[in-house]
This record gives sequence, C-alpha cells and structure tokens, in this order.
Amino acid sequence: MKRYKKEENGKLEIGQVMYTKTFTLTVDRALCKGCQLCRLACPHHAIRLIPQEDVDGKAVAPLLDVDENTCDFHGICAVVCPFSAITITVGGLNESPAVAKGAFPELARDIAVCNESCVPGCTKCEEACPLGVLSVNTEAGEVAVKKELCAGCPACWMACPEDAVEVSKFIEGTIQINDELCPADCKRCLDVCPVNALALDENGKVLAKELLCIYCGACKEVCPVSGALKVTRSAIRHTPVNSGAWHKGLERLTSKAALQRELAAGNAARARTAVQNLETEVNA
Amino acid sequence: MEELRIGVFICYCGANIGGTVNVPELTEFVKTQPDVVCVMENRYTCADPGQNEIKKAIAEHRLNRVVVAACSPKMHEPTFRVCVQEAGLNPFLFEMANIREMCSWCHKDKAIGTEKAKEIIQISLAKARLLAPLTRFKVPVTNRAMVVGGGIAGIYAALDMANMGYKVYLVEKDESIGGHMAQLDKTFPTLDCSICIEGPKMVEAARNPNIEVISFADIINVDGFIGNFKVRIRKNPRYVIAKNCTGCGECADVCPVEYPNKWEMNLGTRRAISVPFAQAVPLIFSIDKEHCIDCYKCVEVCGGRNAIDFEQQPEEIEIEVGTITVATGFDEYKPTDQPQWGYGRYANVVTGLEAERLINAAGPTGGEVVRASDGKHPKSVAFIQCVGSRDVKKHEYCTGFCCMYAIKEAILIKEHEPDTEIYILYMDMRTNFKGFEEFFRRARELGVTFIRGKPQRVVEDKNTNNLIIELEDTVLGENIEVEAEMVILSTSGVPSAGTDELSRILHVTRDTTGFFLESHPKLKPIDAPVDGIFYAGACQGLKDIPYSVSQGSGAAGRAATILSKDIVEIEPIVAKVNPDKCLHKKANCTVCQKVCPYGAPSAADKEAAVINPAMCHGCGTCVADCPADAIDQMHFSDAQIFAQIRAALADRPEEKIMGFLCNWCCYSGADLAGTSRFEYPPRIRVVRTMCAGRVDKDFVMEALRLGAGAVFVGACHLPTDCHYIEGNVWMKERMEALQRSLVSQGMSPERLRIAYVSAAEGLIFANIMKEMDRQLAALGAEKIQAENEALRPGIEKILGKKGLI
Repeated sequence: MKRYKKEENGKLEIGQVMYTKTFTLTVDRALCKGCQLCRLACPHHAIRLIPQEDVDGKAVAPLLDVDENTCDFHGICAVVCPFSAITITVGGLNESPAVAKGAFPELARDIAVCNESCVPGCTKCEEACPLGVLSVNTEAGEVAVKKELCAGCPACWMACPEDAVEVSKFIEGTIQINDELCPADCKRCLDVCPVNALALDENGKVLAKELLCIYCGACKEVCPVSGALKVTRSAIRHTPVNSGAWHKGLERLTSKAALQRELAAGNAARARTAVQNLETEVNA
Repeated sequence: MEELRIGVFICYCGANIGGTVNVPELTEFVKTQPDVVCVMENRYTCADPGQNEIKKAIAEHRLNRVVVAACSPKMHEPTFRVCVQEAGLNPFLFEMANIREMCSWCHKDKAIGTEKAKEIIQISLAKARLLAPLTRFKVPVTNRAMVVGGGIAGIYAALDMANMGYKVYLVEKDESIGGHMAQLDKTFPTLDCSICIEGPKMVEAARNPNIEVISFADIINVDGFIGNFKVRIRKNPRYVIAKNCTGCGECADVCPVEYPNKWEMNLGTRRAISVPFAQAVPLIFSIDKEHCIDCYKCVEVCGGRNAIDFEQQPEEIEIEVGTITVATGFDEYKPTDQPQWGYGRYANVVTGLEAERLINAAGPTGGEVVRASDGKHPKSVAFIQCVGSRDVKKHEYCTGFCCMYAIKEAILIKEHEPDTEIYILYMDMRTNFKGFEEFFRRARELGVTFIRGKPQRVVEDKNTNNLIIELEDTVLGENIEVEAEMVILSTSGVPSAGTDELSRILHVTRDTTGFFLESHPKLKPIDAPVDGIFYAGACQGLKDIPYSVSQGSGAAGRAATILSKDIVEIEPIVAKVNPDKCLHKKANCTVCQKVCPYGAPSAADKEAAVINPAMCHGCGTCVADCPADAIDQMHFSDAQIFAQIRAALADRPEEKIMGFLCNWCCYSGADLAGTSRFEYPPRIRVVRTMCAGRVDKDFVMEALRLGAGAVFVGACHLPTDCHYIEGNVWMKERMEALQRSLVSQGMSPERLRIAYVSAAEGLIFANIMKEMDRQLAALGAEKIQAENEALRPGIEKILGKKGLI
C-alpha cells in the first residue's frame, strides 16, 4: 500500500494505492472556494483549511488540505461540496462509496431552465451566474446547465427577464453582520464570497444579501473578528436517506436543533405513511 | 540460644582426599575447635555406611549442626541434606567443606593440603555456627493455565494442556487466533495448504470445552507468582455482541467504508465492520470506530439479530492461573529504514509475507502474483535473501526460515506461471532439517536460478518499473546486475509489537535481540527466568512451524509439571527485608526493585519494601545493593559470610586470596580445576554465594580490613550467562566502583580481581590463581600490609558506622 499527495495542474490529489484498487481524492483548486462545508462534514477530521496571505490587498480564500493518512475515501466531503470541487475515485470509478451504499444523501440541487420561455440572444443568466453553471447557446436559444456546479444562489433567476430559470437553495439559513464588531475598511468577506452575496452599503459597512447567500461560510473563514459575521445553517435539502452518518454530518453542518427538526419531520412522514398504508389495507 | 553441638565428618574419599590431606591430623585439629562435639572419619561418607554413621552420631551426640568435609557441595550437598533430615535435623543445619575439588585435587604437597583443609573446615564451621533452620515454602497451585498469543505455538500449547484436563485461557490481542500461519499460502517443504491444516486446529481450540478463547484483548497486569498468578485482561469492544453475531457478513456488504487490512499486509482493504479474514476464529465481526462513519447501515441489515451495539465498552476481567505460556510470536521486519532495497519507494518491491498474500488464492489478488505498477504478471522475479538479518548493522541473527520460504514462494510462482524466470540472490542457503535440502534441489530442478552474492542495492527503471539489482557474484568474483520485473525481499522477523510491554508486565527479560530470554539456553529453553512462565514459538527467537508446534507442546508439558501438583515447594534461600531499616518509607528508595530481575520486591506508599518469597530466586543482588543494609538473605546472611571471611583470614591473611565465587559458573569452574587436577598455589579461601550479585562491598572491605592479600570475585560471563539474568552486571558495576575508590586510596589494582569464569573454564581459573600468586609475590607481604594499613582507617569508619565491626 502506498499513500501519496501531489499538487499539479491546479489540483490537489491524494491517493491510496493498493494491489486490489486505487483510491483517489482530487480537489479542483479552481472550483474550491475555501468554504467550511467539507471540513465540517468529514467524520475523520482529515480536512483542514490553511489561511492564505492577502494578494494586492485582497483576502484570499483559505487553501484546502486533506491528510492522506487519515482519509478513508468514502466521499462525504465530495457530496457536501456545493461547488463540486472534490472528486473521489475508487478503482478508477468516479463514485462516492458513502452515496453508493446509501450511507449519505446527495444535495438536492434544483436548477432548471425552461427553454421555451427563453429569449433568444439573451445571455443575462450566464452573465449573472458567478459559478459558470449556465452557458447560453444564443443561436438555438437554449441554455446548457451544469447542474453539479450550481450552489443554489438565485442570481440567474433574478437576472432572467422571462422567469425562465427556476432555482432554489439547498441550504437554508441566515447570515448576520454585527455592525458594531465589523471593522471599518475591512471587506475581506466580500473578497472571498463565491456568489457575491456581500456588498458595502452607502456608509461603507458590509451588507449581507440574504437572498443571494448560499450559507457556505467562506466569508466566516476569513473574517478577522470573532462574532462580527454569523452564518447559521438551519436545514439542508437532500435526497432521501436513512443514515446515522448523515445525521451526524447534518449536526456538524447545521445544529442540533436542525437535526432534531429533520428527525421529527422524518418521524412524522413515516407516521403518515404508516397511517396511509393502514387505510389502504382497511379499504382493501 | 541452644548450646551448639557440631558434628564434623571427614571423608577420605578413598585416596582422593586421603592421598593429599593428612586426615588423622585433620581430625585431631578439628576436635580442638569450639562447639565441635564429635569428629568422625569415613572412607566414603556419601556411601550408605558413611551416611548411617552421620545419622547415628546425630542421635548419639544430640548434634544440632553437621559439617561434612568431603567433595564439592555441588556434588553431594543434596545427598547429605536428605541424610540429616532423615535423622530428624533440619536440612539447612548442614554445611559442606569442599576439601576435595578445592584442596586435595589441586595441591600435591600433603602438608600444604592439610593446612588448607584445616582452614576450609574452619570456614565451614564458622558458617555452621550461624545456620538457622529453614522450611521450604509450600504454595498452593491453581490448576488453570493462560496462554498469551493464539498463533500456532499458542494453539498447540492450549490444546495440549486442555487435553490433559486443565482449563486454559487463550488470550489473543487480534480479532482472530491463527497468527502468521493463517496468512501463509503453502508450508514448506511439503506444500500443504497452510490454512487447511491450521484452520481445523483453530476451530478445535475454540470448540474445546477446556479452552476459553479471549480474543481482541490486552493483558493489563499480572500479579502473583508460580501457581498463583492473577491476570487482569481488557476485552476491547468489538461493538458487536459476540453471542448474537452469526458471522453471516451481511453487515460488511452494506458498509460504505473501506480501510487497509493489516492482516492482508495492507495489500487489500476491509470494511469498517468486518472480520480480518474469512476463516477467522472466533467468527465475530467487529467495527473499527476509527473508520466507522456511524451510518448504521449494519444495524439496519442485522435487524432482529441485534448483534450490533455501538455503546459497547471495554470490559476488564480478572482470571487466576497457575502458569502462563507466552506465545506472542513475531512481526515481519519492514525494511523501510534500509533505502537500498527500495521498499516503499518502488511499486514492484514487496516483502516475503506480502508475496505470500499475493500467491494465496484467498488473498487480495485472488492468487495472482502481479505487479503493483501495472497489474501484469512479472516475467522475472528476484528474491533478495537476508534482508535485515545476518547483518551487523540491523539484526545479527539468522532468521532461520527465509531461505525456505523463498524456495517455497519460488516454487509456487513457478507452478502458477511456469515461464517466470526466478532468481534467488543469497549469501548461504541454509536448508538443514527434515526434507529441506530435498526441497532446495526440487527448486533447482524446476529451473530456479540461485546466485550467490550479497546484493548492494536495487534501482528502478523509470520507464518499465523493472528493478535492477546490483550485486557481487561471489562465485564469478565480479559485479553483476540482475534485472527483474518484481523483487521479493526475504525479510527478517522482529519481536511482535507489545513484546516490550508484556516483558515489563511479566517481569521476564528480553535478550539483546529483543526476543524473550530463556532461563537456560540449553537445559531450560522453554522456561522463562520467572518460575511458572514458559515460552512457545517465535517470541523466544524466530522459528518455523514444526519447531513452534514442538515448542508449544513442550511448553504445555513444562506447565503441566506445575499444574499437576496441588502445591509447589520453593527453596527458602530468599531475601527478606527488615522493615525498620528500609529506606522506602522515608526516602522512597527503590534500589531493590530496580536490581531485581524478577519483580519480587514491592513497596506500598510510605511502607517498607516487601519481598515476595515465591518470586524471589535467591540471588542476593538486592541484599548487596540495599543502601541501608535492610535486606538479608536466608542461608547466605551477612553474618554468616562475615564469619566465613573472619575464619578464612584468621592466620597470615596477607598470603591469602579471599574468594567470592558464584555457585553456577565460577565455583563450578574452580571445581573443574580440581577435577582436572590443575595444580595452583593454595592461596585462595572460598566463600560460595549463589550469585556474584550477592557479593557486598562490605565483604571486600572486611577482607582487606583483616589484612587479606587479595580479593577475588568470580562470576558468570557477561552479558547473558548469569543464572539470575543480570546479577553479574550489578556486581560489575558495584565492584568496579569500589576498585576505583580503593585504588585511589593507594591499593594496588590487582589486589581486587574481578573475573568471569564459566563452569567449563577450570584451566582459566587455575591460571588466574597462578597469575594472582605471582602478583602477590611481586608486591610482597610488606607492601600488602602497608597498603592495608593505609586503607584500614577508612574501611573501619565505614564498617563501624554500619555496626558491622
């Protein structure tokens, strides 16, 4: 068995080479925004974020690092990454074992473009999207969607003159700026926000655009004052799953209360199904 | 105190003593000695008439001490002890004066011999006056046994004891018993399938009603002594309830996490809930919490069997056993610290045990020997022998089984892929033992190429990932290069992880290689230095399977010698602490605990140290090293030895050598000098101690205070000959320090001689005596007396302070 870590072509790759198969984890540096989610989700604490020096007076998002000796390559990090910056391969197959075995859900990415409503020649959505999810074929009036890249901000929907784009966030939450603590002349959070959800108001104070925020927490990683910026995740929409690993992951990503809400909702749903089944049976 | 009534029996031993010693004169002399009420001469004291005379005299003269002046106590002390016991006397009220091996046989002049014999008897009388009756300790025996380590040696030890009717706890640190043998594909030289022959034995051990397999457990502590060990064991949580687990494996099928399987030499993976290998015994799955992500898919699929319990805690149990058999085996040496072999750097370099898993059909590649770099069958394979063994820079020892496993793996690869070229690069092929040489020839006939030479290094061809081995072919006498698509390193073995801790827990020593040290390399190869503990298999030194199995059965037999008894008797010549003098109370002194190799002394906080007589072997090292003189040894007490020294040096001390000889090596060596009739000057007067570790600095100082010409301390050879493990080492440290101090006070260094003489070195003993005689003669009596005068005030101050003079 050999474990390695290498950094090349803008990608960090770690691997575990065994006789039977090879496991790899690749982080696409171009896609990674240095947010908190994978680090919080990893059950083995194999991921850390290395703070970076400012460049040209602008904050730089921290650099993701994965410990090749701790990583088990089950791909929980890859699943929770809103930007799909992480890929896992097992024996050459591009898959996350945790998802394949039903131990972890996928994020419920929800973006669709109604090409009929689309105005030919209009590229507003493509221009608005900060993550390169949409590309408009102007001649055909069709919009190609790279769904896995969509982090759920509604920039495209806001830009679309025809309401042809439907998108919803998969992480719900709140973002708050404490004006008293937020230092003047600091706009580090603005520098790193992947979806431009932060701006300066007329007084030069940081303003959070709740509508755009995807609650990834990248801003929190660079904020120099503790308590100045607060990101709270309250729910994560995902594909159906029944797994303790998800519950623990959810708790780490959101809060105990959020987990309890999800569990309660699940119980209620199960109870409803049970009652329905009973009714069907009785009717039959 | 009762009146002393000593009987002395002087033996002619035919002409053996009578020829060189004037026995009638000796008899008359002994009659004049205080407390002696009866002196008798016998032609052969050890013969029945002689023994009967002793018994008669004991009754007639109401003797309460008996001294026999005859041969070496190593010869007949046990005989006479029984004799006096039969006459109603405590056997420890008997003392022997060795006037044969140490007098009549090594001196030719009758006058000199007689004079020396007189003094030898006086020394014995001095000790006899202070002898005390002693009783052998009787300790009850728990007739249950523990075996630590469930490899093939441990399994055999457990099975044999169980089949003799004893309850056995077989404790294994891994999840399954089986050890290394379960990992092997085939066994040399017969090529039977390893797991096929071991598997049934594993199952038999688990099914035997007398054996309780405690797997996935660690030994935390062992207290007690022969016949009465208390063992605390921690059962590590598997997070699977053993009695509910059916071993079906459905849980592993749904588990999303894979991690490297150590049992597969990390060539393959296992799931976070799994067994290390399919034939595991007991077949109980376990969850590795380090890798588990708590998805509970296993709980879901296990369903009503309810075998999974994430709340399981480590459980500590205590068992009581009479004997412990250690069978903890070895680990394969991984040559990551020897970069010349490229292990860990080049994909196609593997170790012998890794190759074994590749060859094995149940292994990660399904029995395909393939290269890690491209998954292809190598067309050429080179074995490098002696990696990490027979190498003074790494392990000096020969592993003993790598020649054979290399031949075996070569044959197996040839069988799998007949067109594979195989080279075995060796220094010497060691194929002794049954069927091995024939197996070697079979490999040659199959076309395996054997090249004699020591490889220097392995280099990888970056394009092909082939390996080029540079070596000097010692047959051709030139440097050659061998290119192979795969390299298998025949690596050595090292003591298994945890050996260090277990040796600390059991108070059993390890030798310089790290393996457990046996009590005697020839005559007690299975016994640990601690009574009641035995070794089986590779934990005592690397072994192949038949040897491990034999030793497992041997250890069972040795253990049964104890388990079959209700009580064991222990020699009472143990050390004892005077609690009033012990410094542990005030100063937390732990010297006795430090020097004792058996863990016999212990001390509770703020209490005096206590020596467990059942654990004490009676070497006396703690007695000599105790800074407060708080410890004394039964039958070799300070008072007895001081009396012997004073008797020895009563007359013309400056001509004498005061000798302190350890019972096992130097005393036997001196006996052999006599037996071999090596003549030497009659200067030495001998005090026998069980171990040189008993020789106190005070003894040497007392001898010099009394004017001794020289002092001689004779011990077993360093570093490992000592019968009490390291008494000679402590003696060396202590005596060399004393020597430095005495020399700084003006003593000639040759007047304190420390020598290491084995029981076979009679000639060396005689030569040392001759050399010392020359040295003393060269110094001259006047210089010796002057030196002693100069030393005396200092010595008197020290000994006076201790109340010894």
